[in-house]
Amino acid sequence: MNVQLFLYTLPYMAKGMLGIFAVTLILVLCIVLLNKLSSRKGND
Amino acid sequence: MEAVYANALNIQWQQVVMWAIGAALIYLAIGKDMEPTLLLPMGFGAILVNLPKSGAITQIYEGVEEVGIIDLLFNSGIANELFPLLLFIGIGAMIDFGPLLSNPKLMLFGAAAQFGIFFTLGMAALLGFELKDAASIAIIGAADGPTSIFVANYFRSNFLGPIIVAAYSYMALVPIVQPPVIKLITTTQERQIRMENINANVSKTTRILFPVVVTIIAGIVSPRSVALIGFLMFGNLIRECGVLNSLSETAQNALANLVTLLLGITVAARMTADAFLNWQTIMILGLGLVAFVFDTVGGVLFAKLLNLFLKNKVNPMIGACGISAFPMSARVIYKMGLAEDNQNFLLMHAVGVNVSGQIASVIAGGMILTFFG
Repeated sequence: MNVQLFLYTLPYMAKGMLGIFAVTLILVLCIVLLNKLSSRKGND
Repeated sequence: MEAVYANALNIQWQQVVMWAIGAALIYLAIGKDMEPTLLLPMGFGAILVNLPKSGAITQIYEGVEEVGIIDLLFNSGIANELFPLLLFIGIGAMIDFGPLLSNPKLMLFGAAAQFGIFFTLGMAALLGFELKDAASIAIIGAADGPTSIFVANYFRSNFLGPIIVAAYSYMALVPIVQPPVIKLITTTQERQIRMENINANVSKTTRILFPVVVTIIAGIVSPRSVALIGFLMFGNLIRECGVLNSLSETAQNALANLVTLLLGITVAARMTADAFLNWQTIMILGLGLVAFVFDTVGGVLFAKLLNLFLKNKVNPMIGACGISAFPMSARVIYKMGLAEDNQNFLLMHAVGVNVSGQIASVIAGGMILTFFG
């Protein structure tokens, strides 16, 4: 058992999950934007 | 005559155990139809490399090194990450991101279902694995073979063989692993929640721009994983552009099949008895299961959390599809939805989350590379 290494990884768990959610949110915004722009273009 | 049976005296019991493991993998592939494209070549390869003085792997005969074909393939296709990347072109060409693009919120479930990766990282560290090996083991939770191979190989992990066996085995076992976990953390009422149909009417412009945008964003955030996400999205761009149908078909069929064929048997280079038969392998198989279970838990609990704030509730089972394991996981959830309510058609939502899991798992792999690379 390496408790010290386990404790060392804890901040990375938090950073990793936050990082994935941050990138995902950016991607969601981009998709929404793309959908809006292309639907506007379609209407034009 | 002595020369004919002399090599039989070199057989070690560990090699016989590996033959049995190889036979088990072949049985699972043929008898149970579990990921046969990979488990069958891996099973056969496990037998091939564990024959005494097997010429398929590098050996020293009378002081002279003779390079075996499996090692040659490993160095040319896996050690330099070529095979997983080529396979990603094929996978990208197979994926229809339509359900996701028409309901982009589904992407959040893909992110949540990567929890198992980071949870397993901590568990592997606690069990005494070195940090880079722990990171390589954790990525089994990506439920995505090429990403697992890419990351484990990048870290030069000593446990590449067991990691790949665990990754592909649990992907094949998704129909067995996920349902009991989902049932444990959801109520019958939650599993019966119906969802509105997705209108997958997405413009061609969006479909074409999406892979480019994802590559740019993921590449900026995690440059070390840009090859992974880039090749996946390149395959998808070929599919969606509409002017490369022949290339798209080649990527989906010929390329993917050829690389899978070589990948499976080449992985066996790391399945020699001395590298595979140890306590760490058993721990890695256990940690792989932990990763898949906590991926599922992460996705489902996130959906339940969202339901506290949403007017139109989501069926929390779709959160489990964020595990990647495309398209197995989506099929499992679709069937579970129908089993609970025969008018509850979750397929499009499940596929949307499932493909988002494919992207999120690659991003997670990139995060791991950025943190520990």
